[in-house]
Amino acid sequence: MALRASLITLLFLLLMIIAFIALGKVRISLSKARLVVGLYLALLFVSVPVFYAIAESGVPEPVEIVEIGPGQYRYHDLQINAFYDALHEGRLSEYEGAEIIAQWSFDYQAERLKITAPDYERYATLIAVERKDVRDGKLEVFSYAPKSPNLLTLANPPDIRLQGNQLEILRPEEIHLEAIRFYHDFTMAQFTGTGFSMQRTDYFFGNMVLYLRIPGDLLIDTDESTEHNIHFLNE
Amino acid sequence: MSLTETSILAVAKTQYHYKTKAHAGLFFTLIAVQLLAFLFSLNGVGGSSGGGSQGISYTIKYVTGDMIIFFTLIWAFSIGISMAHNGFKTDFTFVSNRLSSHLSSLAFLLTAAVIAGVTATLCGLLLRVVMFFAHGGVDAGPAFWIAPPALLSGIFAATLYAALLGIIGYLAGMLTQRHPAFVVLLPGLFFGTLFVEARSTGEAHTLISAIEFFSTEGSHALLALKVVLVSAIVFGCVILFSNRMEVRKWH
Repeated sequence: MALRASLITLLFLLLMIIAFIALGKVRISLSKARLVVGLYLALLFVSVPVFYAIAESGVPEPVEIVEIGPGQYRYHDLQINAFYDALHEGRLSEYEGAEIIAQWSFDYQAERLKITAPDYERYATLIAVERKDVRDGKLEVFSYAPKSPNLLTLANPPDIRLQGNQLEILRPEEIHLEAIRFYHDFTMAQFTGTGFSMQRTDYFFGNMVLYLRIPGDLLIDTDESTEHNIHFLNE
Repeated sequence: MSLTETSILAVAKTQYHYKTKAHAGLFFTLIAVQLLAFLFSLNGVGGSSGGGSQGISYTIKYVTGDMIIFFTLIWAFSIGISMAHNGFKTDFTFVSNRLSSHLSSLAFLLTAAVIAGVTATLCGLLLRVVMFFAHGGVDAGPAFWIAPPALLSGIFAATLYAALLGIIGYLAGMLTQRHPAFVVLLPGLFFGTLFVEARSTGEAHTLISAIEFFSTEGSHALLALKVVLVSAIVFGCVILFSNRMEVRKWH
């Protein structure tokens, strides 16, 4: 299949070369050529100040590419690692590479709380639970996602509902996101390192975390939908 | 014997001026090629989509001027072939020899390479401007910005690549002039090597190594040195083959 695709590409290339040679034989008067080329150059040169008027300067960071075997590469994402390190060390709220995309707060006085996700068989998002030092009767829920000036964050927080003794994680309304990412031309990228073929990680997806801050003495129950993905931070 | 002595360089200069006028139509093709690549690039050079399980689906379009530059390089290769075929026809109008003809063709190819390098890179900039306004000033990511030195680097590299491919095209054109069998032999040899390698190793190693020899070079000076050296070797081959062609024709 790949060979057939390569063959088609190469045949297309050959056809293009033949077409360009044939078109090159077309005779056009010098004055006409000067006019068209002049107009085209004017258009291109006008686009330069327009571009620098609209573009904001930024420094794209190239992703570290690690060779893990012959012809195999891993795109080492330091930002994701740092995000999870901050989570496991309990300092996500201070970490600048994380943002709260939704939050809820409930008054809750009961001794036990069941965390469940009735819309899911197995809820895929990590649920991190932090016990507070105080028994303030407040249940705080945060939806965190990693953020970076270089990458898009694709995250849609769930709906959270407190129903009796159950904290329910509900499927959110589906959203669709369309985005454009620009890359330097390969002729620039060989000096800047930010070409299309060099950078594969453009966005954070599937890295959302549901972070619960619960009173110190609250007992937590789970069910099949949440038991596999719950993590107690300070226990 | 002529009463006035003219130097090769003076003849080459006159031929060069004549060639730029006679082949002005080639720049029409360049504009057409770049605008065609521009239109193809409006839809992005790639994309990714996915999601669903987490209540979000996405479509991301990737935009670069790579296709514009790629098409321009093919154009540069094609005009190299065209110059080898048509260049001599114009040269017979002058008192000239093969060397002056080659020098004037080389000068024309270098001029074309500069124009191609500048326009291809700026066309990529125009693409960004158009995409930006077409999508209402979306968050385009940090690589939307091209620092002026990076823009100049892009023009520099694109010009060098266009010059190199133009000269390689000129050699290919010369060889096909030498013997019509090369019209079949050269593409056959090129594509044949690619396929034999791809079938045996899964990769076109020779082509990839040749491309990486230039594309992985991060120093401007070394890139220029590599391109100049390879171009000089290729141009040396052109002169060698055309001299042999003359001797053969005399006998």
